[in-house]
Amino acid sequence: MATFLKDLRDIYVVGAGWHRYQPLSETPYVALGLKAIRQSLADAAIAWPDVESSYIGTGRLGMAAGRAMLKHLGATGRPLVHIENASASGSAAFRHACIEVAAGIADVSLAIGVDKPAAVQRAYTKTGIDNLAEDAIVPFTHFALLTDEYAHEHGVNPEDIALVAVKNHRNGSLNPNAHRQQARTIAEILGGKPVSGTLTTLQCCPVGEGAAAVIIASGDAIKRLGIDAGRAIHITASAASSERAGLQSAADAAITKDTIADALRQAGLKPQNVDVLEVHDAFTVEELQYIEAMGFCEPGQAIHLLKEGAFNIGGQMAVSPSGGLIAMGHPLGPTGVGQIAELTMQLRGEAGVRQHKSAKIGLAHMVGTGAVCYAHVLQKP
Amino acid sequence: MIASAKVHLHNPTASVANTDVIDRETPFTIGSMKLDDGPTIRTLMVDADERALKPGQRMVSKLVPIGRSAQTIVDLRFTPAS
Repeated sequence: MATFLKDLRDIYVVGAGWHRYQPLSETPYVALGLKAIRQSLADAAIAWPDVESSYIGTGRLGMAAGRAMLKHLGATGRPLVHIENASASGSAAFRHACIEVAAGIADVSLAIGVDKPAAVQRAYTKTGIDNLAEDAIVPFTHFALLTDEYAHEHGVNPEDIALVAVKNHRNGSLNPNAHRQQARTIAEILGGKPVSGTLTTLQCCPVGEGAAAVIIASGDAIKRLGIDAGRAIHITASAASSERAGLQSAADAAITKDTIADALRQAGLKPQNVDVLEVHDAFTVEELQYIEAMGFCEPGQAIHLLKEGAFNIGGQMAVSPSGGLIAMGHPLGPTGVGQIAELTMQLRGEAGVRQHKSAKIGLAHMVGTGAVCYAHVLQKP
Repeated sequence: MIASAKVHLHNPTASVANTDVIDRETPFTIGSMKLDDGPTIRTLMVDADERALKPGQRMVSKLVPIGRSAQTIVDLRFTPAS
């Protein structure tokens, strides 16, 4: 019989920090990561020696990036591990930090995502098995095809799907940690450089550099270290999956449906209970597909709710208040950790001009090439 | 055909680039095709006016020469059935 987080001891996010997501610069990854970690430690009001293990989500830095970064905080001798899981590397790092603390193996763990753009060859090009036109179907074309399919299936104007980007660029303009911090009109988004199908550059996530860090602690650690329990955010579910055979629809949406359903079931919640959703919106159509896959509304209805403002900050469910992958950015390793940090700020009521009023329940969702999927539920105690 | 997309940006990785075949130049059009036998595959389309392509349209497969030299290399493409 499988055990879930809720069956183990209670765990909390007690600290969050970032280095802004940004275009490739000369700043070393060590400086990016350390800024986020130090901010998260200061946020939790704990010291580096209080951290008993570290999980480092990264996809492009190369082998053993962690110790070269963490030693600047003090070589405490504590265990560290690197996790690469494509776009979901940070989400995976967070999940395994949660499992370690919930299981009682550590009282306080760090989940840090850090990355810089670099050429990394995807392993599926090295399997020795040729795929039909694989080199011509990169992620933006995969999602351009899904955009065309979604528009046809639901009678939606493809240009309306670009409204997702209008919302997310607006949210990003309110976020000092976002890669893109400029609000955009629908004309600007549609008039941008064409990429594939109806997708333009501003409907696709920027892949730059950055870092995000969160501190996970047990209730015991909160008492022992004198952490402010009033700012601790309860982690009530963690779910993960990978693509399986026999799917009748696009893998990304299919595994999203299963994984989010699993997470919400663990937390005893319904899709409509979610106040804030940080979703893997690397391309505009994904936001609509995943909102529908999570069961928030019927297939084809998300575009109408979007137009009504249901997914705005202050709407029925704030979707990607950080700006999402489209505006906050998608530096890979940091992305999933950054979602948890944003939800933490929202559920504490500390998100400033991005604050979704009375947010109590947050859901973080990521998919990664492979395909893999993660979902985490955070709740205000 | 389930869906199509005209691709404007393409940057093949060195590992994928094959010196024996003609470079792929943008724009090109990719389609998702549900085969009569059941599976759905994605590949390039040829001889297709992408503005006229509509999901649901019937397509046929076609082998297209892609080699640079006299050596015969063909690859699978799809084109509108009529």
